[in-house]
Amino acid sequence: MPKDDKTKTYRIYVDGVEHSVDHDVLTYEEVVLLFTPTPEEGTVYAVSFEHGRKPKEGELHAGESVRIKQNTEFDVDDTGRS
Amino acid sequence: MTLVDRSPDLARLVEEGYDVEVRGGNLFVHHVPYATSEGNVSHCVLVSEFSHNGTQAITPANHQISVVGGVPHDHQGEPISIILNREPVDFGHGFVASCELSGKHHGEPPSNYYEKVTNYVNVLGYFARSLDASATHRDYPVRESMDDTSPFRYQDSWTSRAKINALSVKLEAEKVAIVGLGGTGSYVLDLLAKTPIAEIHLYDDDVFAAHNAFRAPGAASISDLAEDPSKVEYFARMYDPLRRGVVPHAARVTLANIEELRDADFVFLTMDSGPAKREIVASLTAWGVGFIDCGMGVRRQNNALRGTLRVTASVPGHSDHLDHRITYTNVEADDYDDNIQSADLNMLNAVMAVVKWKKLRGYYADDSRELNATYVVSRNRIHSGDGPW
Repeated sequence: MPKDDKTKTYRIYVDGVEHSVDHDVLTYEEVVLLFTPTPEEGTVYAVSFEHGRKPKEGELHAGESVRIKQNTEFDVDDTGRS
Repeated sequence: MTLVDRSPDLARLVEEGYDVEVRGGNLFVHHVPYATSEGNVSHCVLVSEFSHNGTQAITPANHQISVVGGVPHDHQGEPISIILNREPVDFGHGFVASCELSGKHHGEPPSNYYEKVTNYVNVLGYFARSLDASATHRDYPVRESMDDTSPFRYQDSWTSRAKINALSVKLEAEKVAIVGLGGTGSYVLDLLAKTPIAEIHLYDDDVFAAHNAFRAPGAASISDLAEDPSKVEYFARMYDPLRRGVVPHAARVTLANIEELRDADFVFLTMDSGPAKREIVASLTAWGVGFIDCGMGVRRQNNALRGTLRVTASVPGHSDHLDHRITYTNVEADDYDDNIQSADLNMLNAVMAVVKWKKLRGYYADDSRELNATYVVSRNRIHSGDGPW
């Protein structure tokens, strides 16, 4: 299978919910949209991940991205409550 | 009546001319003569742990005592035999022990502080008087026996037993504010109340209701709730038996009163996100007032709760990270937010915040010096970010 096969999909999890994506670099904004289709304007979401390809784990801020692999797990939350 | 007056063993020491003082949870005995290595008489301060029940002294926790000054010697110039160790223990306020003594009168542990103190004073004084017959512990004016600068209504004897008084001095602050007394803020208060902060100012305009009681420390009674107390009044009353200086302000912090935070040593922001938080963060940052913002998000999914806790610290000169950490959206506007919180997660968020504050004060080691931490409940992971600063 050629490396640039456009049909390849990746199974990932966002807050425990399975999703399928068709490319291997995901941005903060894309991950947030998987968490909620209607993100609140101006809300800062806390995004973290494990089992990524590069880096393997860490956090994502607005404008940043991560290279994923099969079964990369994301967690997204609005941490506005106290 | 002071703790010394109410304790027969301490009162007897005072009557007999001993210069005793309860300070920072320790018992200090000043002006105790001892023989130096050069064969002279000098004076030291004996420092003992101080066990009490809040009203009066109880049986000493141990028989050892520390010496602030030199190392006591005998009449032949040899260090006395009851020296246990020569570790320099810092009791704070400039009192650093040079050694610790371990001796029991007739092999019995002391049953009270009169026995404990007189035993050591007699041993040290015996050798001192062999060099100078006039040496006495009785020639110094008796001082105030209670520590009037402490915010506590009774002394913190745990800190003195653990010999970390000099460390707890690092937590002494004049004024700390907690903005928001919800689940997280109330647990922050519970922890700060037990530190030597002179004034803890509470800001919240809400009433303390039944649902609050299940995510707050302690056990509110029905009659507590029936009075519809303001949260800040309820908590100020709750901590009054332990300490002075919990100051209630039944108000939100807005531009109208934010100036009250300008002289704070530190601020804990434990309030829901919203435009008001943006104004507070901007003012504190401009004034160079350090603060920690707490926040959490918890949601129900597949019939279990998932969530993230966040602790974001701001120190003067290091605020660039705040914009990508602190959210200012009005929480009411978020359709996904159903305000699930639970006492344990509120408490954990508060603990993370107070531990971070103690690191900023140098009380705990802070090797990673992160300014942000997020705990993801389901994965049991803490992500440290924005550091070292």
